Amino acid sequence: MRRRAVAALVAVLALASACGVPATGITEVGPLPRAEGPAVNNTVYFLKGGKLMPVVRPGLPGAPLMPLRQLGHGVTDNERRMGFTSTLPGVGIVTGLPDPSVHDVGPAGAQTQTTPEIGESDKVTVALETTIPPAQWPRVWQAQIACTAEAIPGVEKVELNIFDGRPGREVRCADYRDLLGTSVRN
Amino acid sequence: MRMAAAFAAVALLASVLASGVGYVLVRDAMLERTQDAVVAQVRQTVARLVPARVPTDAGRTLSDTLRNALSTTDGRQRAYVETLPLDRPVPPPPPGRLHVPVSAAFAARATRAMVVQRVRHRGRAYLLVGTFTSGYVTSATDPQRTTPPIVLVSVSLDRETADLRSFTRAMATADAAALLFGLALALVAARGVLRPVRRLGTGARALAAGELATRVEVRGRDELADLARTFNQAADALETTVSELRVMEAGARRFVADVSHELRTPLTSMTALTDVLEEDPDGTAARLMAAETRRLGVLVEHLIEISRFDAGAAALVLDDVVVAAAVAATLQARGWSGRVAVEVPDDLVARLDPRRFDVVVANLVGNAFRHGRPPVRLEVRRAEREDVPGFELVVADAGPGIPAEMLPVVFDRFVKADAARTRSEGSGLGLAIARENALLHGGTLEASAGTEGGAVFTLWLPLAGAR
Repeated sequence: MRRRAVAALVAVLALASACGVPATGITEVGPLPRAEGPAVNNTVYFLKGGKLMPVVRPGLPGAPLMPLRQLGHGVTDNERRMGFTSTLPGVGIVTGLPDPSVHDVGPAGAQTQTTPEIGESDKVTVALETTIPPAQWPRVWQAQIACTAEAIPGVEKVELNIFDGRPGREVRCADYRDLLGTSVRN
Repeated sequence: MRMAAAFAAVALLASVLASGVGYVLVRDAMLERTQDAVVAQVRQTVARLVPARVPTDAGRTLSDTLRNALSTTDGRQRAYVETLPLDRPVPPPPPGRLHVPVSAAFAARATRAMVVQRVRHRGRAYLLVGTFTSGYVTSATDPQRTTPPIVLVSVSLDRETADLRSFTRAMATADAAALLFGLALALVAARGVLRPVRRLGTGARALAAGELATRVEVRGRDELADLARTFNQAADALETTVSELRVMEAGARRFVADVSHELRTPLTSMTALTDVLEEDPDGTAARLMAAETRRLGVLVEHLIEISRFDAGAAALVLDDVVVAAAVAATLQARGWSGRVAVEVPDDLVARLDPRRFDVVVANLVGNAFRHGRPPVRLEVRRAEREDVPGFELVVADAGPGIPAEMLPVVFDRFVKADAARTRSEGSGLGLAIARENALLHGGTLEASAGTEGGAVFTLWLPLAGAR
């Protein structure tokens, strides 16, 4: 009788201890997912032999302003080997089109709220990480920004600014026609 | 009580076992479903959002997109997405990004395959999912700029825990109900079993106390009813046996009394005659004395005979007997040859004990002469009883017959047709012995009143002898 009671008690305890959600070890649940997201082509203008040359790079859908930001990161090793260079400093702020990628950091879900003023959706504003007023930026910088921006579908006007309280400088790619070379793919 | 406890224990064990198994199954299914859903979502999201050619220097943008897609606003699911550093181990996510700290081993394994882990942190359960991307194109010389991010997702399992808790509560309620139900059932069943058992016990005690008429009520068709029926049969048998014994005991007592009386009667006569004998010169007294002595001898012989029957020591010595010859021999030996009208088929042969047959016939014919009046008829004819071939031997006289109230007791010992006639030549045992002989042969002996007065005794014996 006593042995049976002990057995029953053990069973009940075992059941009770199995309650709740138990922890587990690390378990593999399959291979890594394959990257098969859609890719778009972006055009970025770099210098080659002193001339402005477009470079086609892969981009992300829904991130139209990415080429402008990529300008600030400079050329890749491949592009450098092909003779491309860039002297642009880092690109600080890019506004104008709805693009979540312009806000690198920040809490999740905050992007839509800080989507910039969309009043002039055909105009983008680019600020460089520099204190030099836009009017004094080297023409090559201005040309790179203006042509890269105008290569983005839907962009008509480009404003260069450093947000120092003064109005920015509107530029067009056509203003720098003298710097343009023939198109090359990287 | 022990039965009820066992019932309850079985009910409890069964319900706890069943609910325990059910609980584990439900829990595993629930957690597996949650995990499958999260894993599928992470896998699809990563595959959908990470392009095969990762844009240069777009790690931040890609990470933000992925983190947005993999986080929920209610905070149940949080994601930590960071460009995979190629030159060093994956840095642990800063505190607060995910619900729980992630071990370095988990992050390292997440770069090779999709992994999950369930962890408990501060008393709550979380599901961790880690993955990276395969199939992307990167440049050989500058891979860091085109590497997709590593994705770590933590999911709070609070909802599942709450579901399980409510499930547990429901199960505990059900178990308690099962226990109560089992207990009630056990009590009912125990009463159903114990009541008849108690009745049987009472009956047995009453029987033991000598109340032989005690019977128990038989209810239902189960084993207990069987037992009650057997009990009743045993009580029946006991009652019958005991009453038979009592009847036999009473008979024996009366017999002893009768024997004493019968022995005393000739002894009294003999004592008186001895006195007379001393003075009587002509010998009448001596003859009477001799007669009484013979009578006493016959009585003692008969007593010995009947006591053999009583003791079951009487044995048949069977032989093939021609009935006609046997009857004739009996009559001739007693000197009754001419005085009885005999009618016996010549060819009737029966298997019987000749000595006992002789005793019966002599007794019946002797009785007819003693108590009835001539003419005495003796008739033998074939007769079947209950399909057994046999023969009837009928002895009839023309006397006064047997009074109707005497017919049932005429074969009892020491029964006299005329109560006043206490002294007769018979021992009073003759008919009893004749009847015992008939029964020993498997036959019968009956007395009846004749159609024209007189007594009729009918002996029936089987032809083949006693079986």
